[in-house]
Amino acid sequence: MSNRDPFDDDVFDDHLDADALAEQREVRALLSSLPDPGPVPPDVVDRITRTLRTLQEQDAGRTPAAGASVVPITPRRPQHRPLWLAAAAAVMLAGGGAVVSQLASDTSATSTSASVAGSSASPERTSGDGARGVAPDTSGRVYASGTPYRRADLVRQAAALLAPSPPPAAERPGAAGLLMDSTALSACLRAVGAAAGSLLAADLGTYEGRPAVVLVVTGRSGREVVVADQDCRPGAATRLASAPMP
Amino acid sequence: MTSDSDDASDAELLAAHVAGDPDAFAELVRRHQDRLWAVALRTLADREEAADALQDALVSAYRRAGSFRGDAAVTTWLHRIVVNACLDRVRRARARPTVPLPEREPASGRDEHASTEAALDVRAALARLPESQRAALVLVDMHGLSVAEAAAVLEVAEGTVKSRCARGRAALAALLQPDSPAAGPVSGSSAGSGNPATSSDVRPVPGGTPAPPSRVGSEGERA
Repeated sequence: MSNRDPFDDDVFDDHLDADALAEQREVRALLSSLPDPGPVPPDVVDRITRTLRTLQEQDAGRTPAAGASVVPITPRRPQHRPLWLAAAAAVMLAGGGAVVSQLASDTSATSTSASVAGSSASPERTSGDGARGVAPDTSGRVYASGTPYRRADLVRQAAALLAPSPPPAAERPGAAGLLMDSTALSACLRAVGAAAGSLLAADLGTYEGRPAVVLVVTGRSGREVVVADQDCRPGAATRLASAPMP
Repeated sequence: MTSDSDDASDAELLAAHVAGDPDAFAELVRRHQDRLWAVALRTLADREEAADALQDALVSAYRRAGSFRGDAAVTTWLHRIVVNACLDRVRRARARPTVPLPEREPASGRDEHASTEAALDVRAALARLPESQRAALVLVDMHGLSVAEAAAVLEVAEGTVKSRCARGRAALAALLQPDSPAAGPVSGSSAGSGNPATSSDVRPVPGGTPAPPSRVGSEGERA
């Protein structure tokens, strides 16, 4: 069609005759000339912010205080806590003061009780009886740090999960369903070809920008890091990467 | 504003939200809210409806973040949710009784396209299009997305987007002709309860003003 140019092929239907194409161009130009609506009006931003804040507080198991002020949509540095601590806080809120168990049943962990004030609980990992809703049979440290893992730096980043001072982790309980459920975690380990008892550490984050679970396990040839997508279950897991660790 | 938040990609922010970061989703919203607002307002042409749709969409995105698979860009995913929220409102509004807008003269000619009056006419005409054509035109001609990007947002084939745009433009051209039987005052709220122009792929709505048949072929909807 002689009246078409290469740009037309990307925008306009290729069955148009010359008159129709001219009309199409005219209407497109008309539509694109309409002014931009501009930024979101402040009252709409406030509304949405309030709504999201309420959702967040519901997720955290808290009820917004009456007359609570609106938090504007502005970035703040993420506040991290180990997932076990978040779980402890959740169990304490539900159980009214029971001793909670750690997610990770590392035998070297120090036993302690958690106070109701989860945010002020000591960072030591807890253990004990009477935990409700969290009964892991999978050993290892479990985090949901949201760390952006990179291919080039994977081993070093994964090694940080085993460090005495572990990486920061997210604080919202319930968000990391995979890691909160020992059965699901065991299934994930099986899905990536690791034994349930081989887990040294697990973390929810991203790998090359994609939501992922990072598992540090002990294999036959030593420690290795295995990365899978977060839908990690037999028959569905996508193993994104793996590497031996020193 | 922290460097951490600034440096994180959209996907990283979404993953951080899923992992429990209490601030990640708000940062994602802050980044894209103006573009999403523009899509909502252009699609619905009504401030309150657009605000409601944007809020619905962001709540949905907040809750469904865990289902994001990374197959498309986060922005595409967000746009998709907003467009769907808008189209839901269009459909719901269509089911409600309409309130006629005050009558006003149609634009007197195409040389007045830049005027406010003409812009109002264009928006009113756009509101009369079927939602599928309206959404395609908003994304491609008004929002500047490529056909491929719009296809990803709408989850249809690129040919379908082109076809919807072509039909929508043809219907708009007919609606904006001052001497066209399709021209005239638009009934219904601009949130989508206006009667859509009828073309070969359009469900007729009682009381709708028919537009001339489109000159383009079938939409080629993907099964």
